[in-house]
Amino acid sequence: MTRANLGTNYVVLRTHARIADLLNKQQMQRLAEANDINEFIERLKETPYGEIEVEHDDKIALNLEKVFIKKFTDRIEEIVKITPAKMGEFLHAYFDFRFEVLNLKRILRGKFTESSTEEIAESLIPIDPYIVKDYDELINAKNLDEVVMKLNGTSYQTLIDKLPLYQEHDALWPLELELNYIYARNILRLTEKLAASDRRIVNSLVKYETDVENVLIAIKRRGKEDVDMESIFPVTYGIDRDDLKAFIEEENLNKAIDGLEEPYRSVLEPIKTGDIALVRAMLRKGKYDAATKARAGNQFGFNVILAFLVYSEIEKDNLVGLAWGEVQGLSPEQLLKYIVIPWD
Amino acid sequence: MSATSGIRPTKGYLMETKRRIQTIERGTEFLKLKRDQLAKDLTESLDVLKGRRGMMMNNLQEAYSALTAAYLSLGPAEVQSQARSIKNTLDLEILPRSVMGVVYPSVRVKETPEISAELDITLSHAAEKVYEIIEELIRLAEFEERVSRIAEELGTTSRKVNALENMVIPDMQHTIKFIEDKLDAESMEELVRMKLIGGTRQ
Repeated sequence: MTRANLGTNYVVLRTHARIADLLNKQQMQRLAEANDINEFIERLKETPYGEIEVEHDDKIALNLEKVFIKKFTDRIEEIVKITPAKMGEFLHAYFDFRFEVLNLKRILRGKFTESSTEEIAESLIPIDPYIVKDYDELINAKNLDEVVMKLNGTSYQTLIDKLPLYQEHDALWPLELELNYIYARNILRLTEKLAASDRRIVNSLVKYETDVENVLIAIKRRGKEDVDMESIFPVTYGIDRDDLKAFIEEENLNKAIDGLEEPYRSVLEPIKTGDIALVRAMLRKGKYDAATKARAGNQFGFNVILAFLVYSEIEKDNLVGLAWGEVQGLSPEQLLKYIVIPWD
Repeated sequence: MSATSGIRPTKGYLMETKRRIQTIERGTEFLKLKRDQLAKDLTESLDVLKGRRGMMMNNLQEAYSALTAAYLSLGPAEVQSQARSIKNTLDLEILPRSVMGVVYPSVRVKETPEISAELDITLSHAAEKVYEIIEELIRLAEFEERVSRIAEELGTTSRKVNALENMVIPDMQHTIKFIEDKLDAESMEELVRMKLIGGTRQ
């Protein structure tokens, strides 16, 4: 047995133990059935989350979201720390890079609408910077152009080329799309470093997610002429640009959906009834199923680690949604509609 | 104090009062016409309002469901961040308009928010639903205010008509009768006095 394999086996063993900490179906349902946010927090005490100290003000949902994100990032850190280098590098990128891209988008949005530095700082996901040196430096920049210029020399420097387009349209979409592209490009590059079998699992997740996101972007551009397919969809996998073009140009959206293969057809099915948000829940469920399938195939490989992190992210998203819904006083039926709780 | 106290029982005052009562009666007729028109307008408006409100409740329910779905699938922080990228806010201009003397506010949408960022599709779907009903909501608010002011004006007009019909006109008629009686009595007295004077001379 090689040293790398020994490392993987150790992480897999630790991961199996950590999977037991995830909330099960009954626990998640019990949380959804709480009468209000106080009862939700009380019920959360009975789970591995334990007692949560959070300010009970009008921002309680946002405060809880930060707590759940922190728990999720701690789980990633814990696993990444003990994962062999290449796998660890990939996992770090897959999650932290994504959060950093999200934070950069939030900084750009804040600067675009001239929000205060406090407002921007408060909107950020509480994670350590991944590629950028310091978020504060970006938050305190004079304007959006300066934020982008400060990214020179990093993986985000191609944003500078998009500044004229941003200025021409006075719109953020050129910069946000470029950030999506930077993330996709880097993930693709890091995937190549993984072993062939691990790469297959990751590809099935990354490609599936990118394909569905591309379709959602295409649907938003329905009816628009002269869509620059290359720049809007820089990365495509199972759904190519011709299929995406059909989503923009086809008069009957249902026809375009029916033209896709599984699993895409099932994931996009809710669009036919106008429930677009359900697509995202279906997407999460698809990721859950893909991770579970991969995990079932080999209980002692990288797929177990990835499955744990995918489950953790879904759990984080579920709890964030549940907490907000409890604050709003939504019924358990309304809450559970968009929550993925498939595990027992 | 009686209604006739302080009245000068003169022919000039009688003529002036008769002229005034004619004007008041004509005015009352106009007010009655206005009252009937306002009542008709109010009844029709209430039916329209009921229908519009029903439709609005459905549309609001749809928009709220879309927004709820967006929050549940993206989380509150991301929704708020994406919403922050919408640069322009709703800018309204409120001008006064008048129908049958009823002044009500008329709202003009000068500027609507502009979605220029790469909003998530669930959020842009919710935003579209909300934008669809914003103008509808403004029109409904304008219509509700118009209906409320018409109802107010109808109440005022009815009170005016009642006061004129039941108080002012009867009072004036009473005054006219009082003056006429007084003048008749005076002329009778005068006639008797003249006859007495004439009889004495003979």
